[in-house]
Amino acid sequence: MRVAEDPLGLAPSARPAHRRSGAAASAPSRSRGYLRWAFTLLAIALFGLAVADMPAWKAALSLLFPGSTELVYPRASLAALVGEHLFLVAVSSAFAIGLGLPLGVLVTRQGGRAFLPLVNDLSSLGQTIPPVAVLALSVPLLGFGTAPTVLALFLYSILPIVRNTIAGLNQVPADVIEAARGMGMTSAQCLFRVELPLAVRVIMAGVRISVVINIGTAVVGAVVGAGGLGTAIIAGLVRENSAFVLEGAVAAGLLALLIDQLLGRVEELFAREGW
Amino acid sequence: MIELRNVTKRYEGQAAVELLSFTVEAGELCVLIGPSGCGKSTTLKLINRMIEPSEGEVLIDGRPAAGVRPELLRRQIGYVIQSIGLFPHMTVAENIAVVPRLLGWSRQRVAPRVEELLDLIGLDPSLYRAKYPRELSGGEAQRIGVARALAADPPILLMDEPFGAVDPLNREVLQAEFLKIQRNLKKTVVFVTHDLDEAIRLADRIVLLSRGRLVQIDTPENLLSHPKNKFVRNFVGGDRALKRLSRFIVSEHLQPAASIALFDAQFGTRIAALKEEGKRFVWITDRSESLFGWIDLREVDGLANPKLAVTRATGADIAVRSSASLREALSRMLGQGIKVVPVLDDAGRLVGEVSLADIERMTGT
Repeated sequence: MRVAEDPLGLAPSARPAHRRSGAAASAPSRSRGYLRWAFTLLAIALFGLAVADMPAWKAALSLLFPGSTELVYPRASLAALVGEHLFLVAVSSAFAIGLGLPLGVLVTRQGGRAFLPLVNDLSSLGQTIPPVAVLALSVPLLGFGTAPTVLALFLYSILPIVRNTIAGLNQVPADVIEAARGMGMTSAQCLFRVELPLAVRVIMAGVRISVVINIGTAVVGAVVGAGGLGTAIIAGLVRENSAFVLEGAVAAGLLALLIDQLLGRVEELFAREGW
Repeated sequence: MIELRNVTKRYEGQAAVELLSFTVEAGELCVLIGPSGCGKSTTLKLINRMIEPSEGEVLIDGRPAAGVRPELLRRQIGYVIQSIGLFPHMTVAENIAVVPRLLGWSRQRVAPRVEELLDLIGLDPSLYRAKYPRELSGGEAQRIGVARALAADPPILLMDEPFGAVDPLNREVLQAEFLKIQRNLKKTVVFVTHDLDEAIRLADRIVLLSRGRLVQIDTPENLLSHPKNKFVRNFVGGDRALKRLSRFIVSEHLQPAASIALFDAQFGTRIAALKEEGKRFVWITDRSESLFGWIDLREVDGLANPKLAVTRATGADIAVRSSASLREALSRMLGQGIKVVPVLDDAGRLVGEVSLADIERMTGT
């Protein structure tokens, strides 16, 4: 199992969302927030330009592989590969979030607590089965292409979301919930007005980890013809052309970094300043 | 009005509260007290249905609490808990506005109400409105907790050891402030504490519980002077006379004190004038009107400079705050071996004095 009980050490004890030390000063952090946004968007724009500009890639790779004649994967443009890759990640992550988040909420409710061990085990199981194995097992049922890849990625990325949703909701102080109920909030009001806002940082951290891992893992999709940056890597391995491998790997790595940055900014939007 | 009729709560056959019946009249401050595990918190939570009774019923203004949806019932009942439970992601203003918002008040109605409440608890709205709970001291947070419970002006207030987590000095201040608020608002209050002094100081009536059963329900004076049985006698302890002093607040019994500013240009003349009046001890204050020491006028004679007779003593050593109880004033006297203690206001300024004779008058009646 790659992700342990507490992905990224974001356990409540390490960083309780409701009482971080004075670091979250209000006014200066806002202007720094704008700067971080500007930096992130600039980095994304630069990446977009680089991907769109094939000659630039060729020039860069020709410095590394001076003797090679074929420097970039010829059968699809890098932009197309990145697009396919993002599609795989987006669909599988959407499923993982769409199922993982409600599941995490469900097992922390009074009625759902009995299912907590089951959900924990199932999401761990998803993480322990290698995505390649899921592909091999599901292709006979789902055929080649996008469907088995999305399934494999979904299973592989649901764990951090479920676990962090549970951890985030469990670290909401019991007295805060008692106060909320005692003041006359219904359980739904308590969840949406108190528990989820207090858990959002930990939950978002889980989403971030999940998506970033997903970007790296989505490379396997190429094995069953789902496209994406893995296509260039596999072609490079087959033809013993390291330039292709590097093209796919560097692009996937940069993509993961950028998406992580972007989600970091989104996370900051959720966490209000001051607390 | 709150009425409990033969209320029993069992957990797995074990009774936490058994056949409990008592009534809290409208506008009354009723304190539930007893050794830990006596069921006082359970009783409190039975009133707003945080816990449902196994048997018996709770009536609020004559209507069964069980007939109202718990959420709707709780919005009519203020609730303060020991750990306060302020919402860390909401500002002070948002915290106070929670129940009004649940009740669907308009923004135009909520905002002035928040200001009003902050004023009531003595915190400047312009300073505190936008603060987050983590920026508050324990005492401030507890005040906000009370303000939040009062926000929608509920007729009933339930308080579960509200000042239990505050340091003793601040607790006294909070108790005094709360009494002042309660005298104006006349809420029906059920207040849980394990601190007998607090109970005696605040209560109109005390409900003493033991092992889930009611032992005695009485005014603090009666509980102290006529304990029903050995348990009550042991619980209130041997220092009953002392405990009664907890009910009297210094500010209501202080006498004007003679004082001179140390840097008064007419120091000598004033000393002479006071001596003429037959005074013996006079307090000395410094520039900021806080206590500097005292002077024994008998020792002034023959000194070139009367200031040489001044004995240095700061407020922290010998004074009591005006919000303290006479019991503390007495304790100060005994501790310092003096018969008169100076009284300071919250800003540390000398506002008067209390003497042993004053206290003896109170215990006599």
